[in-house]
Amino acid sequence: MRIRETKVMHHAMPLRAWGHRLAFGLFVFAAIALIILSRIDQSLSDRLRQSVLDIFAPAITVVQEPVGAFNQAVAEVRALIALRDQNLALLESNRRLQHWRDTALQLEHENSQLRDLLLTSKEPLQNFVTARAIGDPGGPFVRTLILRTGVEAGIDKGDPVLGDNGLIGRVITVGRTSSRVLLLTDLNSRVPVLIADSRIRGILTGDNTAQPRIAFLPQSAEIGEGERVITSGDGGLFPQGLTVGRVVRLEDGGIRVALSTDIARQEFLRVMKYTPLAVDPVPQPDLSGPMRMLAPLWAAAKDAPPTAQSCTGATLGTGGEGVPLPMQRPEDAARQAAAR
Amino acid sequence: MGETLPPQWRRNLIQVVPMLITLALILVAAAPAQTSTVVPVTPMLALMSIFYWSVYRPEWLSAPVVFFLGVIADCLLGGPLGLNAILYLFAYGVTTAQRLILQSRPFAISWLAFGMVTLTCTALSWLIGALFYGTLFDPLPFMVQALLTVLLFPLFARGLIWAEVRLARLA
Repeated sequence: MRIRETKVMHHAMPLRAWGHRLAFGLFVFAAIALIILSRIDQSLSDRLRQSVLDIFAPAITVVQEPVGAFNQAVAEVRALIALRDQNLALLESNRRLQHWRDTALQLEHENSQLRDLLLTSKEPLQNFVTARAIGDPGGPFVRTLILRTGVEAGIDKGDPVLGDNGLIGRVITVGRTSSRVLLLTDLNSRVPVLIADSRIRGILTGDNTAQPRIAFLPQSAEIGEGERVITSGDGGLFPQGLTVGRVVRLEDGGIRVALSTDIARQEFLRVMKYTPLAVDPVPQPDLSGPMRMLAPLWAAAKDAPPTAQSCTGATLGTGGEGVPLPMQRPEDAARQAAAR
Repeated sequence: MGETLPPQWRRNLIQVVPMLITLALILVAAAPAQTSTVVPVTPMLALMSIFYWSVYRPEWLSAPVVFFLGVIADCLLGGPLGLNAILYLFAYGVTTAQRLILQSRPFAISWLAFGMVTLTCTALSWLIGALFYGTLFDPLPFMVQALLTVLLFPLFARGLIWAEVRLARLA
């Protein structure tokens, strides 16, 4: 029946068939043109992608509900089976963590006091936006996530994205209510990192595998397996010190990192509202307050090679309470005078 | 389902439902599901729908619709923009051309044909990806994706047959 219908159509309307073929050819051509165009102008395709994503984000959220519910049900059954063992393990881990928390608080306090003493420039407090990951397009080309948050929540392109245990990627396109995250594992991801114990810097380079590589390591670098990897903050793109993972595999000429966050298991993610640092071309120490004692030191260090002799000489010669110091800015001197 | 609707509405429904089903499958593919623990890939669900309608009801799904579905998939799923548009059009073109051979054959033959279409699409996608990004991708994720897609086809085909039967009653 169906065959006869289509045969009749073929004989009765050859023109229509030709029209169909022509339309088909045109659309194939359009698709090829689209690929070439998106290769030439990345920003154009990014904008198109983001607008389409904004339109479909609510629909993906709806579709994602049953999928999420299924994943959760499986996780809950597993948790029920392992309840007793898990409880014991948690009690033990809680006891241990309590101890670590005390240590951390004490160290944080001590650290902030030492920073005050040294007048280290303060890193601004970070604001976070928590958002649901609604999409994880499992294509073989890209490693990205779709977040149900956008410009309306104040997030911006380039913001770091964190899971439970550390950095997982950064925002690459932002729409009104949705955005896309480039994961650390993606082929295009490059993040400056620091190997915490060896203090060796490198670039974390994604290659679509689960464990990104660290590139641009010094030839003589000696790195141990299991060392912590954190962001180095070089270039100002990311804040310094975000946990990334641990060194796992040492290959000839390269090492790989096991990320501390299991990306597949993240339902909610935190987006850090981070403004990349603008690097000041001429660093000027802030020499007001108690540190003005060190101003001559700074001056001497600037004028002469920093030897012990020149430094002590300068301190003895001009350092003194109330004397306007050569390196002070006029407004600082005025403030001091007012305070007296 | 909708037998009481006026004829014009029924005709519109028939034109729209296959497209909506394909769109829904694209959205499902974009949602985070842990389908594979080996490599994080999701099967090409929309390809199943396009193949099915191309064999059994090519008049319900037109080339422009297939193209726009491909562009939407490209926007949501990542990869080169236009890649899925090409793959979907390719699958649509090849299948509609060969549909008379498949229509009266048992389902196993259609499954085999779908396997061949999927394999070709996967190879094409690897090739275009390699040209676009200038890297030779690891073929494993592509193979896993193709395998998952082919293995899941009978399951999804059941749903599509059900939808086709319901829609055919309206026609």
